[in-house]
Amino acid sequence: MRKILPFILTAILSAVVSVLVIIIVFKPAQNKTGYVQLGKVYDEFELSKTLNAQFKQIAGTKKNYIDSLEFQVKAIYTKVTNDKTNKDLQGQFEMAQRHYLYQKEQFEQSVGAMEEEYNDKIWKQLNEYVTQFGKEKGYDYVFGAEGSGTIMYGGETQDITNEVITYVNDKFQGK
Amino acid sequence: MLTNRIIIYFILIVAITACGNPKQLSSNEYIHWIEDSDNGLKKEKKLDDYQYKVLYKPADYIVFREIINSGAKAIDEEQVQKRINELANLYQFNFDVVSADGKTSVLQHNVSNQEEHAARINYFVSHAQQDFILVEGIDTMPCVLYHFEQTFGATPFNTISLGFERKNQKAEGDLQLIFTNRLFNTGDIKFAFPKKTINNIPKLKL
Repeated sequence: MRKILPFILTAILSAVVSVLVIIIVFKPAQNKTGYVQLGKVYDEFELSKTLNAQFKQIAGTKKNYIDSLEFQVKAIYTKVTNDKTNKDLQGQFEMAQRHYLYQKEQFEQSVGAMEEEYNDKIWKQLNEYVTQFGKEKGYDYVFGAEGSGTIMYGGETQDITNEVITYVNDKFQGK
Repeated sequence: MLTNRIIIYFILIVAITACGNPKQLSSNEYIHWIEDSDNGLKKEKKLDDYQYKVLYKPADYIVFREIINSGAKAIDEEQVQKRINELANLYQFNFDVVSADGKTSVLQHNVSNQEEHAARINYFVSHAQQDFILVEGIDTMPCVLYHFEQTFGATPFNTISLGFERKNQKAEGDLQLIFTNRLFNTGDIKFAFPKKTINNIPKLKL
C-alpha cells in the first residue's frame, strides 16, 4: 500500500492540474466593459463648458433685444387701448407687432441652429475621445448610461465616468 | 556622513549639468528625434473625418531641412548659425490636415460641388490664419506666418506652415496650439507642448 500511495497521489495531482489547465485554457473570454454617465461626461467636458457659456451669452443678448421689442409693443398697445380712435397709433402698433413677431421667430430659429451646431461640435470630439479611451484601456464595450433605460443597473466598479472625464479633458487640451 | 554629502553634491552637479545643456545629436539622429512622436514634438488627433498632425519645428530642424532640400554638399557653419539666429524669434509648426480615408485630398473629401471645393480653398488660403493661435503660459499670440501648401489633389493631406512670435529663447510657459476649425465644425482643436519638452530639445551637431 505504501508503495502505491505516491503513485495514487501523483495521479490525483495530475488530474487536478489537468482540470485546472482545461478550465483556464477553455474558459470563455470575458469582455472588459464599463459604463459612463453620459450627462455627467457632457457637462464636465471642457468644450461643453466653453460652448455653453458662449451660447448663454449670445442667446442672452439676443433675448434681451427681443424682450425690449416686446416691451415696446406692449407700451404702444396700452396707448392704443386708451385712444382707440387714433389710426396712426393703430398703424404703429401693427407694424411694431409684426416686427416683434418676425424678430422673435428669427431668434428662435437662430438659437436652435446655434444649439445644434454647438452640440455637433461637442459630440464629434466626445465620441472620438471615448473611442480612443476604450481602445487604449482595452475595453470591448463602453456603454453610455443616459437615464433613458438603456442601462437599468451598473455596479459601481463598472462606472468609469470619472476616469473618462479626466481622459477626454486631457485629450481636448491636446495632452 | 562625509560620503553622503559627496554623493549628494555629485548628484546635484550631474542634475544641474543635465538640465542646463540639452544634448547634441548628429544630423540623422536629430531628425529622427524631432520626428519621433514619443519625444513630444509630433502630435496628432483624429476628429470626425479628418486627422490633424502637428510637428513643432525648432530652428535647427528647419535649417537642416533647408540644407537637405537645397542639395548643398558642404555646410558653411557660419551661414547655418546665422540662419538659425534669424529663425530663433519664431515658434514654428507644420500643421497637416489629412482626410481619414487616406485617399482623397482634404480640399475634395466629401465635397459635392465646385463651389464647396472653391470655398475650402478660399478658407485655407485666406481665412484659416486667423483661426490659429498659440498660447504660451498666459500669453496668447496670433499667427504671424502662414503658408498653405496646395498639392492640387496629389496628396490626401495638406500642410500648413505656421509661425508665432517668440519672446525668449527659452519657453516661459507651456505651449498650446489652438485651431478654431470653422470649416469642419469640430470646435477648438488643441495641441499641448510642455515647457519642459520645448526647453530640452537636443541641439543639432554639424
